[in-house]
Amino acid sequence: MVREEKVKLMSKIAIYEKRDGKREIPINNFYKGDYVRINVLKTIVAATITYVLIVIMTAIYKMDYILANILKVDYKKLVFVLLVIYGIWIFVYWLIARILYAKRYENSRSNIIIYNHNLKKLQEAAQKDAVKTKGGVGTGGDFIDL
Amino acid sequence: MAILLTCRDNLKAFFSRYDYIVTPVLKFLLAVVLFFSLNSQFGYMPLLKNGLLLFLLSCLCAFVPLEIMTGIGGVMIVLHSVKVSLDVGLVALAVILVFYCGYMRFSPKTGMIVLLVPLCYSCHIMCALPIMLGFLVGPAAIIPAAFGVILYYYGNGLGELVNVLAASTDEEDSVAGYQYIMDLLLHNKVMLLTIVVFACVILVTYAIYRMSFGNSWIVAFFTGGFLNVVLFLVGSVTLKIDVEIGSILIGSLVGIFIAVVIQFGKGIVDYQKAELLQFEDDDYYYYVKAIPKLSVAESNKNVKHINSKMHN
Repeated sequence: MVREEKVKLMSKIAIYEKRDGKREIPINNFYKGDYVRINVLKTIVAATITYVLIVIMTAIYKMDYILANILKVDYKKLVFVLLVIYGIWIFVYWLIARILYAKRYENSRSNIIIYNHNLKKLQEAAQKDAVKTKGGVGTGGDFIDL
Repeated sequence: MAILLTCRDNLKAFFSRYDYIVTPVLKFLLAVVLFFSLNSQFGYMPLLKNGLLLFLLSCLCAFVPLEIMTGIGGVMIVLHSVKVSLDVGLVALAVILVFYCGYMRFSPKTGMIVLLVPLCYSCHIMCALPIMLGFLVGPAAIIPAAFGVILYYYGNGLGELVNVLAASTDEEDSVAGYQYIMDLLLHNKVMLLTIVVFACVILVTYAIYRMSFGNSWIVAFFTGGFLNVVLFLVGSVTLKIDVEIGSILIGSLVGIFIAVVIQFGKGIVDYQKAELLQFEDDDYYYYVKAIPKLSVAESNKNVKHINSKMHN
C-alpha cells in the first residue's frame, strides 16, 4: 500500500537531491578542513596558470624591448621581482579561497542537516513497514520476531 | 498598483507551474540574442554565421546550464579571432583562460555578464548595466563587467585591425596584429574610465541597496545613476577624453527605470518550481509531480457579497 507520509518524505528528499543537493551533498562528503584544503589547492593551480598566462602575454607584448636589451637585463633581479609578485598573487588567491570555501561549506550545513533528518525519518518508516510485513513488534530500533 | 501586483502574482504562478517549459524557452531566446550579438560584433567566420548552426546551438543552450552558454560564446569569439589572425586568436584564448582560471572558477554563474556587456552596448543601454548589476549581483559583478567592457573594445579593435590588415601587404602582419590589439586595449582611456566607473557604481548601488532604511532601493538606483553621470564627467575632464555625456545621462535614466521595473518584478524569479520526480522503494516506482503552493491572486478570488438589505 502506498503511504502518503512516506511519499511526501521521499518527494522532499528527491527535490533536494535534484536542486541544491547536487552541489551540497558532495561538499558534505568531506570534513570542513579537507574540503577547504582541496579547493585552496585547486585555486592555487588555477592562479598559477593565470599568472603564467599574464607573464607570457606581457613578455610577447614587450618582445621588441626584450630583444633589444637581451644582454643588458639583470636576470637575477627580474626573477626575484617575478617571484615576489607571484608570492603576493598566490597569497591573495589563497586568502580569498580559504574564506570563500569555508563559508560555502558552512552554508551547505543547514540544508544537509534537514536532508539527513528526513532520511532518518524515512529509514524509521521503512523499518516499521518491515516489522509489520513480518508480523513482529518493533521496540525502538530493534525487532522482535514472533 | 493593485492590478500590477495581481499581474505579478499571476505571472509568478504561471512561471512556477510551467517552469519546465518557460526556463528552456527563455534560455533559448537569450542564446539566440547573444549569439546574434556576438556575430554582429565579430562575425568574421562565415561558418559561425550559419543560421542552422546558431539555431542548433541555441537549442542546446536551452537545456544546459548558463555556464555552458558562456563557454560556447567564448569559443565563438576565439574562432572569429583566429579567422582574422592566428596570434590575435591566441590572445583571445589567453584572455578567456585568464578570466576562467582567475575568476570564473569562484563564481561560474556571473560569467554570463561578460557576454551581456557587449549586448548592452549594442542596445545603447551600456550605462544602465552597472545600476542593474549593483543590486542584482553585487560586488561579484565587478570583474565580469570589466572583462565585458574589455571584450567590447576588443571587438572594436578587431574591426579596425581587419581594415588595417586589408590595406596592408606587410608579411609580418601576424606580429603587428597582436601588438595592434594590445596597444589599442592598453592605451584606451575610455575603456579604463568605463571599467572604473562601472566598479564604483556597482559598489555604491549595492551598498545603499543593502541598507536597512525604508525605500533604500530607490535611493540606491538614483545615487547609482547620478554617480554614473558625475564620474564619467569628472573622468572625461581629468583624462581629457571625449565622452557622450548626453547618451550617458539618457542611459543612466533608462537604467534607473529598468532597475525599478526589475525591482518590482523581482519576486517573479524567486518562485518555487514545479518538479517532476522519479524514485522507487522496495514495492513501487513513484512518478510524482510536486506543484508548489501559492497564494491566490486577488482577481482569482470569487468573493460573494451578501447585502443584509436584500433580506428585508
